[in-house]
Amino acid sequence: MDFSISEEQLQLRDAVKRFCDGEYPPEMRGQQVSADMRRERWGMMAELGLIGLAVSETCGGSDLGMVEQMGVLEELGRCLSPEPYLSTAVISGSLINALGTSEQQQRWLAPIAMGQLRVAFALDEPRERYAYQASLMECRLTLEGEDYRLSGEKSLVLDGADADAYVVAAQHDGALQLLVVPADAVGLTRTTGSTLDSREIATLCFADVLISSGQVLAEGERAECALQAVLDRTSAALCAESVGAMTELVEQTREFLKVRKQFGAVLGKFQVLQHRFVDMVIALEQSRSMAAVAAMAVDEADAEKSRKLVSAARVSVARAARLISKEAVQMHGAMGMTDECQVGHYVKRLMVAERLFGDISHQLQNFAKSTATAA
Amino acid sequence: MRLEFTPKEEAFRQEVRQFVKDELDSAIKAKVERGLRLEKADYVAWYTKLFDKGWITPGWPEEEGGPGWTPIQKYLFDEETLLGGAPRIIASGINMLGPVLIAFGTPKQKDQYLPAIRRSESWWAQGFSEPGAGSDLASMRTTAVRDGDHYIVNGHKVWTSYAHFCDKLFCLVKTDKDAKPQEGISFLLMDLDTPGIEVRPIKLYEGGNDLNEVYLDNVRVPVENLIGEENKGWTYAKYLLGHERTGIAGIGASKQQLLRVKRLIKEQGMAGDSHFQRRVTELEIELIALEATGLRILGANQTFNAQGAEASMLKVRGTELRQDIFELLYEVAGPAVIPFSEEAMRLEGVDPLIGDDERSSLAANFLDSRKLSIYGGTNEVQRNVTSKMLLQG
Ligand SMILES: Cc1cc2nc3c(=O)[nH]c(=O)nc-3n(C[C@H](O)[C@H](O)[C@H](O)COP(=O)(O)OP(=O)(O)OC[C@H]3O[C@@H](n4cnc5c(N)ncnc54)[C@H](O)[C@@H]3O)c2cc1C
Repeated sequence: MDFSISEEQLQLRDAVKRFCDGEYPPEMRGQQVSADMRRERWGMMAELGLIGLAVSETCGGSDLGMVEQMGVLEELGRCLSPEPYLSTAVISGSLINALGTSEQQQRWLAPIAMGQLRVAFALDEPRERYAYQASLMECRLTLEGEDYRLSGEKSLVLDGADADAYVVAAQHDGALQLLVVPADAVGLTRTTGSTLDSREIATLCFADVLISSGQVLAEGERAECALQAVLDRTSAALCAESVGAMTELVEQTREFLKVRKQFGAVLGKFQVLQHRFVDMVIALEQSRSMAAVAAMAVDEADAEKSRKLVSAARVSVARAARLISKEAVQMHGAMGMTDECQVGHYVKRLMVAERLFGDISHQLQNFAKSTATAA
Repeated sequence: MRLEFTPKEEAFRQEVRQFVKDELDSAIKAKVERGLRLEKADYVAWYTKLFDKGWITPGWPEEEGGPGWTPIQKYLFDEETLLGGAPRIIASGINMLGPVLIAFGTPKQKDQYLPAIRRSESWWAQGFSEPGAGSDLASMRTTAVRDGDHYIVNGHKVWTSYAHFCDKLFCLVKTDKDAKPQEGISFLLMDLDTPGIEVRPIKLYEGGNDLNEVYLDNVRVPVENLIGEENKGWTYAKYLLGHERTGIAGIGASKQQLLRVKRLIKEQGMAGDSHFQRRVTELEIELIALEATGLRILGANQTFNAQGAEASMLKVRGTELRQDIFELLYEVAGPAVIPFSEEAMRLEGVDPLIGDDERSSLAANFLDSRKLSIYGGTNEVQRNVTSKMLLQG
């Protein structure tokens, strides 16, 4: 195992850090921003080559892996970026990259890499939590001549409120299909709302939406494998993003303990807080290691091993995030519970990251399942 | 020693339970049980029912309008009302100022203030904390300078719960800047509409705004509004904080939230999930142990010494257990906590995306529950104080 970072990876991180420090000043973090502002930033990220990082070179990308994306995601988490990087660049981009025909790639992937098309991922459904097997999906396709009709409901579509298109998972006779549906498709209605951490989310309702065969990315086993792979990728990404957010929480708590005085001393002089602060740092460092393990596993390991390590990383990072969040609030006292204080915005981002695409309980089950089959 | 309550006590419990069932408005109960936001009118409606029954001030002596209950009765009353989904007593006049007025107020002050507190006509806010003085309350800087038969008060109070519901403020002020920190403090009462007072809301991270800041700029307060003696305010404040801590173990509230966990687990078809079942069972056992300890302390000295180590122990264990229960609720909710809207935190409100999914409030409830280890003396400070008693006494 080698955790060292190459010169190029370091340069990329620095570039992202400069971008983030410029674009996300502390007082704006966690606040809602205008759609115009978000489009502008998205364009800047495309120019920096961040969106196409893992996209093939033929479509204008850099053909790099999760390890590179990890650096970007960590920075975006550190600055609470509300941009649809996870949904568009990590999830939809990699699915189209892996599955699309060259025609589909030219149609969707190239504009994604250029920042012109934002594609959200519609997987969850309202009835069953984290039911990612085709047989459990109520979003269904029915054949109509050469085409299909899509009906059903998708919920918790992150960044879904103003996406240009969606990658949708649906079942056709018990088999999984992954398709691309433009936001303006006839029969698609979306209900928009806000996440706990003030990002955008939507529920999509498909009523007999016409799907041409050109919109289908994959079906059956090929789609199943791709879905598993992208879920692992997403989990690794959520770990990286969380590590960024936790880094900042620990940093803010460190600063606070150094300046806040009570009983004639800075809080950092009180031993009980010293010890607990060290526990926060230990949790952070372990998360950093596990986020790296998850990214490397996605890039290098076979499906079984990747699954196992990635779910281990999710559990370990989620536990650390909970500890760090609770301690950061507690050590800030009442101030830590205000909207004005940055702490709460980071805590909420971490809470959402913990629940997207599988909570702790779900990840524990994934891990147990993969150990059982691996043994 | 005897395991069961006496038949008389059980009969009393039944009486309280029936009262809550008959009198508590169902919309208010639904808000409490689903962790939604309450309006002042909700609290007043319930407090008025309690007043009419003579039960609004269980902690006050009989001659001042208390019901004359034994500690066990008070305990059962707390448990049954909270378990039945009644709003907590958040009015600081009832829990905090009332006992201080009764112990240290002049007859005139008692006549002037106590009846209005009991009738919920007058709501008091607690102005102790300041930006620079939280755990170290004695380091506060708000001053009161004597000018004829008035004090002129200047300063800045913060984290003032429900000040926006209140018409009055009890406040700690420095009357002797040269004395040792705890010796130069006085306890003053003021009307919140006195010129020079400005109340500003503080928005909290879970979207609520129970807290406020209070700015005091050359506020003229009549000298007759002083409690007890000048520079003795710390003694009265300590007496008050002792009262604040007694109910804080929150057994009834914990029981009520545990019922909610069980209901949600069942409703979501997760009864077969051994992870959640085990957590619920563990917390239930912890609650039994806490309740037994609370009752043992009550029984050991029928005049419960609220300022001793026992109160701190109950506060620490009680609040941490409640936080664990809220955390479990938050876990049980799964992905339903991802969407959030202020609308969904109100019974009347409907968020188009969330609909009537009660689980969306559980993220806010979890965040809100972090306050339990911060207010009423932080749990670190409780442990400091207790360890001093145990190790240095
Ligand atoms: C919801 C809520 C309602 C409140 N309502 C009121 C109200 O109505 N009126 C009012 O006057 N106040 C109110 N408060 C304020 C409350 O009393 C203070 O928040 C509390 O005393 C802590 O002070 P602080 O927030 O300034 O934290 P600080 O005192 O700055 O403490 C920060 C952290 O350091 C820790 N710490 C401090 N000193 C030590 C030490 N010696 N050893 C170890 N750890 C230490 C604390 O435990 C805490 O974790 C409320 C607070 C909350 C959260």
